Amino acid sequence: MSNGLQVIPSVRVLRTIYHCPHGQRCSAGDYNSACYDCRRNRRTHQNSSNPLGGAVTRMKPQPFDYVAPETLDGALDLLAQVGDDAVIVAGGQSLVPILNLRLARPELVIDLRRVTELARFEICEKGLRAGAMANVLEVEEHPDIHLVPGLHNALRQIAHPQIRSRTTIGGSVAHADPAAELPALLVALDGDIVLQSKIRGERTVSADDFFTGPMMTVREPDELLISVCFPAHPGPVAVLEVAKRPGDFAMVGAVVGYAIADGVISNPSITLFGVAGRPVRMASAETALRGAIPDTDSFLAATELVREEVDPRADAYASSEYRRQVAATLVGRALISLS
Amino acid sequence: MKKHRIRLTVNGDESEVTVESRMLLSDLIRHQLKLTGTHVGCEQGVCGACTVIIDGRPQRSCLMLAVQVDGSTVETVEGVADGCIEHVTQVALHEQHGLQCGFCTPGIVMSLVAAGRSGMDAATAKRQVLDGHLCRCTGYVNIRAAIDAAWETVDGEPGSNNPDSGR
Repeated sequence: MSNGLQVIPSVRVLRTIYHCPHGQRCSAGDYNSACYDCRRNRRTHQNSSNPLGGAVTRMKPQPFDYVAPETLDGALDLLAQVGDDAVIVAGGQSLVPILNLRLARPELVIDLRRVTELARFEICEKGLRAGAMANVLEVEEHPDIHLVPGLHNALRQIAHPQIRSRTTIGGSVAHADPAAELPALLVALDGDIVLQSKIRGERTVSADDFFTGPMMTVREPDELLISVCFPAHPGPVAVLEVAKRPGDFAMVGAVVGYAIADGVISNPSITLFGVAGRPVRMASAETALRGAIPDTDSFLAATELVREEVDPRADAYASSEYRRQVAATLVGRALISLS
Repeated sequence: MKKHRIRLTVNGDESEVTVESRMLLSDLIRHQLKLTGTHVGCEQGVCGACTVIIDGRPQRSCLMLAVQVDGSTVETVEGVADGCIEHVTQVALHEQHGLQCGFCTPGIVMSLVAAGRSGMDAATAKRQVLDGHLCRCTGYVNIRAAIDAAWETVDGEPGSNNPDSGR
């Protein structure tokens, strides 16, 4: 029965139809990029000489040796032997992406996961001392954490829970990311860092001397970060940051603390992170606040000084001027929130 | 030392595999153990698609070397359902249309299972768990609805499998 439409003879494209071994039509040859089985076979075939059993071995990091020493001495021995060509993995939440992107190409990866003596978290004479392998999620729930004002606040802003479950305090400090919370908190609280090498033994470095630039510290290649001390600030400490999403690296962050003695401000501490290669103390604002009456006028004067003193970096995420504005606003907000 | 023989328990099955030092856990799971339910997105810990539960904690499998899980217990999305009975979070995500392309879903399911086991309430789960997962389809509204539904189904404990909550 005609439906009224004229049947136009179709133009035949003269093209041979091929089939892959799995019965799927394809345009050429016996390999069909649209067929799952073809793709899998090719991968397996390509790697058939692979002693690992024919699995896909397209690896992201470059080859390296891996050792997980059982003791601190074992780790220090290894570092003394290999030094420059080794990287130390604590939680790995920053190091593994760096390895994946081949920004680091170490000969040896030393994993500290078995060195349980580094996972301590305890009260020390100045405040709290965290071993290098102390886990952020566990420290966060530690009953003594509130002995150091600001520590809990800082830890909660590190990345996402799924990442915090592996993040270590020592790893974050040794990595020295300019936008990270813990290095800034250490600088703000005048904390210190204990390093140890097999040959030269132990030394203690103040946080201010420890961080030298973006991802750069005074740690020598044969040294291991053993522990960090977070001194207790006499007053409350606020840690505020602005990031694109919660858990992202901060574009700008501020650690602000002060105490009140006899009606005036004492021990003011203002540290910014994400604005320079390392956490920076705002010395002029701190001087202005010391001995001032904690009111809106003195807070406003301090934020103005921060605006003048800070010289932020610019990158793809934020301009220097934007960071300057945010830094001043965050310091102002923190000062008011503490009053 | 470039290759290691490791033992691990994956979804209740003990296995012993040989891995290169540089192999990531996500690659071990997907390519060697053939458990392709765990997805790999950004491979730098941002997207959350590769989240698996290691020794009871949700962690990014792309940010771990396979050798690091020697002796650990790993749970992937394949082990969440009880036979053909889906886990309450899976049922809720399905019924509330909490996914479209589904790429991010295995990671979200694993994080939610761990959150449920830890006794987290629905409001905290919605805020904290979803922090660590990128979903480009749903706009999160339906995922949040699914979390509410899942928590309601088991009265605040979606960590254990509840056959009565099946469809």
